[in-house]
Amino acid sequence: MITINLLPDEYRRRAKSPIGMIAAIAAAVLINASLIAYWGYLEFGISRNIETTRSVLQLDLDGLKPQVAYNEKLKKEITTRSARETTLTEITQNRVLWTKVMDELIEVVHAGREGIEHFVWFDDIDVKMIAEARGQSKDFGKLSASAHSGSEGYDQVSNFLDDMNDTELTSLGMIFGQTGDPEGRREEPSKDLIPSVNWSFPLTIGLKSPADRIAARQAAEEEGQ
Amino acid sequence: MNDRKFWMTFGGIAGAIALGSAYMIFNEKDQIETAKGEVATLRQDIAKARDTVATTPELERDVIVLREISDRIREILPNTRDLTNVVRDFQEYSKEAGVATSGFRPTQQNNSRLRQSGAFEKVAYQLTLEADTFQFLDFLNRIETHSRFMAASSFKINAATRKSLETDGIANHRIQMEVETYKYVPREGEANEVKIAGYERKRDLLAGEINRRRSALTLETFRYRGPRGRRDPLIDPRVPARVDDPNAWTVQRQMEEVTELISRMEEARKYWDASNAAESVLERMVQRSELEKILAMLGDDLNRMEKEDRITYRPAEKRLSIGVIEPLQELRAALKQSQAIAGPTLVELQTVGDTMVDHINEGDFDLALDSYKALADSLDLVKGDKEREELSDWLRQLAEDATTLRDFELIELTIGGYAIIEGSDPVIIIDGTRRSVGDPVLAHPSLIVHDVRPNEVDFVFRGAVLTRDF
Repeated sequence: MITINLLPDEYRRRAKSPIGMIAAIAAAVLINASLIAYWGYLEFGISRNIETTRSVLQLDLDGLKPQVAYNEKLKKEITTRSARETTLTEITQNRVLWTKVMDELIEVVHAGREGIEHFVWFDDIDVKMIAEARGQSKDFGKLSASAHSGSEGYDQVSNFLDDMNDTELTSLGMIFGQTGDPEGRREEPSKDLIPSVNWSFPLTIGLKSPADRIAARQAAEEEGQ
Repeated sequence: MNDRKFWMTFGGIAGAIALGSAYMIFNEKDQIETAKGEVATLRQDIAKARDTVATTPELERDVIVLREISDRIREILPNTRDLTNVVRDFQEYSKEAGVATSGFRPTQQNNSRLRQSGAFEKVAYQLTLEADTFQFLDFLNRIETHSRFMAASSFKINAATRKSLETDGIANHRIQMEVETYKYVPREGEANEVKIAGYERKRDLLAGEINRRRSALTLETFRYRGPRGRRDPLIDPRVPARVDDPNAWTVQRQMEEVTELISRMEEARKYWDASNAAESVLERMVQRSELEKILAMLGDDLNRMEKEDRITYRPAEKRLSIGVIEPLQELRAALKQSQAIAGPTLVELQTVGDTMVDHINEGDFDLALDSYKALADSLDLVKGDKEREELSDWLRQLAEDATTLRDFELIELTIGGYAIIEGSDPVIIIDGTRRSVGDPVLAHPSLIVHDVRPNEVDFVFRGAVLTRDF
């Protein structure tokens, strides 16, 4: 629609300054300028600064990488080499020197003093070690033997077992637990032999755990010192 | 353009710019956050890397120590299977210990824990032997003190029967034992040796730690000292009943007596060895004299034991035979044979003579006489043996020459002037006194001037003409 103002000039309304428009434009420009300025600050102020820091740190890290790689190689070599040492320590600790044990057993067999002449000999000696006890099992092996005591009285069997457990007489206690309760059977007397009577009895002693054996050995060493 | 259009256009443009700016700000902030995150990660990585690098000196020390003790570990737990050598060692040990081996075979092992670690595998051998208890312990001890780790995991000894003992005289117990060792099986991708800068210097600084760790690796051993007079616990020690002799020796006593005789026999053998190694005949005679005394006493005791039938326990009897009776016979025979040749041998005489000649030629008269003294006492023993007698006369002559020369050297003379006149005897001033040919030196009457030449004078001394320069 076309609007025509027919009023004479003096009656026409005077044109006013467009303050609202100016304000609106100014506000729009200000807001946009602020936004762009803030973006500029973020881009050229903060972001670039962070990027520079990142580059410096990256360089720093790149410089450390060969040293870290060297360190890793050393660790790997240690793993390989220490595996042998650890295994050696383990198997060494588990080992029982049976020559020593048997030598001591022979000493006990020969132990005799006033009133104690157990005169023992064996039909067999059976030694079994169990390297890794399963679960909660406390069976680490044992020494068992069919023994005889050439004496009239069966109290000599007890004397022998006492000697086996006597820590002053033998160090077998460092390796074995206590012997079982005494039991025996009188064998048929042989008139052609001296002594003619002998009592047969079983000897069974359980091996201590490797940890207990080590502890006993260390305690003995400390006592010796 | 009317107002409305203007405002719409303006509003649209302004809004678009604002939205664009807001998007860019949002995007930028996002990027900044990401970058900040990366920076933080980098800082963490660097801190971690620095912490890691800080441990390098310690790791280097560990590696150096492990490398230096690895030869000891390799010795105990070898790389290669090397079981052929182990079997050879079994053979050697059984021979040394007097054990008869009737079988050996590898046995299956199930060692899950060590297998998981992947580096070591247990290897076990089952041996079947025949021996007495002490021989077996000797054999076992050799295995347990082997430089490679070896352990007996089980063994069973079945005693020889009394009957077989009485028949054979030797206790052949049947023994079955299992010996285990480990072999090292390197895993794939296992680390190679890393190059460490200044290795030797760092190693020298760690010498104490290396030695400590090396000695900690030493396997526990036991020095087995043999039967020591003890009876075999797997032999029935009862002795046959002897109604005629209630004082018959016990097994223990029999073993002790035999052990005592064996130690005396060993002592006799030492005297025999010492007499053979003696440097002088006198020393040899002393050693032989002691030896003969010991052998005489040993023989008496042995005869007494045999007469009284003291040794009835078979193992003791066997030990007596092996350890005393047989060596005694051998030693007596050797002694008798050596006594057949009295005095030093031809070789000894010739060697001493040659040595003396060398010493005399070099002017070491005392050394020549020392060599002579070693045989001097025994030279009379060679009488009757023409060849050795000639050599002993030669030695005596050499000793006499060496003595004369040494004594002549020891005489100090001050020689002044001399005059050699044609047609007259030469004249020389000795110790300030004028002497001519045939005159004795006043301070040493046994020294007679024989001739005078320019810068030389000959003397007759103990029948020999000797020259002194001046």
